[in-house]
Amino acid sequence: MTNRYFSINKSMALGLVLLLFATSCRKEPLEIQNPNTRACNSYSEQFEAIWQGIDHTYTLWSHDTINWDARYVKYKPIFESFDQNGVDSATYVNTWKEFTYGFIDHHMAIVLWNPVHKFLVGISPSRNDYGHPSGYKEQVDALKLQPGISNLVEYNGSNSKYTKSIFCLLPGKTADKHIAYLRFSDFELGSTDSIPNEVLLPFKAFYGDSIGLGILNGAADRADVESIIIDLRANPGGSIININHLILSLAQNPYHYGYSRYKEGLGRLDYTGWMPVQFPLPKYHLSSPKPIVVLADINSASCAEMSTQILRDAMGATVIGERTMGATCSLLPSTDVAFDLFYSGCFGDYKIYKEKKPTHPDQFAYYVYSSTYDIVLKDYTSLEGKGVQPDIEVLFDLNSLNAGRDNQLDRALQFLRTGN
Amino acid sequence: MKKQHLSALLLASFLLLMPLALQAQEAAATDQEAPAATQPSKHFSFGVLGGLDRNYHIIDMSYMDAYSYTPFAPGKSYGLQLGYSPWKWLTFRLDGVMLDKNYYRDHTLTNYGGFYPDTTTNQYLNVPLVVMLNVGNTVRLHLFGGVYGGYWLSSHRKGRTMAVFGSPEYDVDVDLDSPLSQRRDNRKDFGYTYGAGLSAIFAKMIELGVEIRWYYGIYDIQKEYMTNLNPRYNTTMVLQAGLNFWL
Repeated sequence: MTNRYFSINKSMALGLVLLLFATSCRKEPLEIQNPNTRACNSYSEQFEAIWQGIDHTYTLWSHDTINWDARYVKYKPIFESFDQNGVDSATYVNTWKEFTYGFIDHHMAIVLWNPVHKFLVGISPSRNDYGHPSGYKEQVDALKLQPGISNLVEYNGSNSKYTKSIFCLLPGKTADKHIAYLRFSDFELGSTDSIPNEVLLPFKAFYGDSIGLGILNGAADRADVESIIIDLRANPGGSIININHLILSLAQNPYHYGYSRYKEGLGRLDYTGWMPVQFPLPKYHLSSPKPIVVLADINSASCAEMSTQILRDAMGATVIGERTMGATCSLLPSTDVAFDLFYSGCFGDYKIYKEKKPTHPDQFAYYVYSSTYDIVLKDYTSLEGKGVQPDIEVLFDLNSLNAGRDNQLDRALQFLRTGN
Repeated sequence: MKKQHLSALLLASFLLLMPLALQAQEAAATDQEAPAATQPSKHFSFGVLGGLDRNYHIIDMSYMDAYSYTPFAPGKSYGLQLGYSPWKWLTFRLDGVMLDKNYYRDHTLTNYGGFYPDTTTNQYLNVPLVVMLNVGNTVRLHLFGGVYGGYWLSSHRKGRTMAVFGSPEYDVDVDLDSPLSQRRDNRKDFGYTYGAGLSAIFAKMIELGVEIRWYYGIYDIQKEYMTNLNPRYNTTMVLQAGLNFWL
């Protein structure tokens, strides 16, 4: 009897131990706040919100090499010391720059507001080891000095709301042939129905009257136009839907660019599957292929880079100039709508982005601008941080431009006229 | 009570009840004349088993409440079993089982009228080792508990996603050997297994049985590649039949 009682007690004790063991073997889920709506009342809360928000929503963790966990360990005590001891604005800004430096996402920008210093701070965390001024005005001035230039049509951006653009014809290989040249400052053309006609004149000269549908009776498809230059230098991109009629109208077939995906979970590597990125052929397009040169430089970004890649890969264009910026992914900035759709990319106070002021000026606020979709080429290689490499490299030369000579355009003209 | 705690409670209950059952067995033996059949005898068995399973994917999506995970249509389970019974009331059993751990997910955008469901089917090799308590003679009741090890063999996803640039449909094999998957996915599985079954013995050597079993994974299906990682687990319920041959 005694032995049996002892045996029962020992087994029950073992069972209780195993019960505790079993219930404690699975980790509990973390307590995570929504970074899009999180309220912050201190430097350290602002730090915590942005660190955690990027941790869960940044789309390019599969490409990036930043040790984000180590950054947390290093900088959390620093921001906590700001809460205790205060901080001057210069130190605040420099600390944020150091903390966020080096992301591969070349769209990324972080805008901060704190109720102590009361001004918006903008930070671009991506690594950029090469850069130069835009050069747009100087390059346009040099273009106008090209011998034999004709049919010049320009909208010079007198209303900054609209896209600047310029079209002209330049002499081709022979006296009766021309090179059609088109440059536009961004991909924000939007619906052409609501844009003043003077803004559209350069586009209409190149594409024709139905620019929203492609090339119809425009100069690009004329028989005397033997080749085309599309100048995307200093073009920061814009809305991807503009690529369809502005760029794909130069093709003869629909185009499979590559693949895209976005985040679908809180883990850094929780992605959707890869989805094909397809561009349909516009209703009106070039009737037959023509030699095309794309002028691009380090300030060509986003849609401009994608267009450079499309023109080369789909239409055999030659890229002349410099490598592009390397901001080749895509994003939806409107966090009041897009965050609940994708949980990726941009998050924070959308009013900071739209109106350049926070919703609650008495709180610590932020807006993080970052890619919503990861986009790669057909072979799954990423151009993020690398850009599109030129076929013929010609570096920006401000001295040459100030002397009235655009060395990059000259090289493009030489290539189209001589084949070399 | 959370499902995983309920499962663990069942395991603990079995372990608590086991000694009482053992005592009952011993008491029954001592109260009767000891026939030759109750003499300790070592028996080996081998057999096959197969059935259906239902997997619960345990995941906390926090503020990402447009996503929800639920069990998918029944998965399948099939495999082999080996047993060793030093005494009639006790069996050690080792199985090798191919097991589905599937789940269904939908991404519902209530405010925008979008609905994007998909299913993920996962196949695992599970090797459970259990201690079985057997009660009865020709018709037997079994209670068992133990541990299992496993390996994630393959994964397939099919469904619709909110696509921006092209078709929303996809039907793909997930490459578990890809660099991304190697960083993220924990292909090793481990946990507890427990359950109960009923069997009948024919001609002293053929045993036909059914059992209900739970696999309670305690390994996160993700590697610890980030500090702030929300864990994900599988709890799989299996209803299976087995055919055993006793040597």
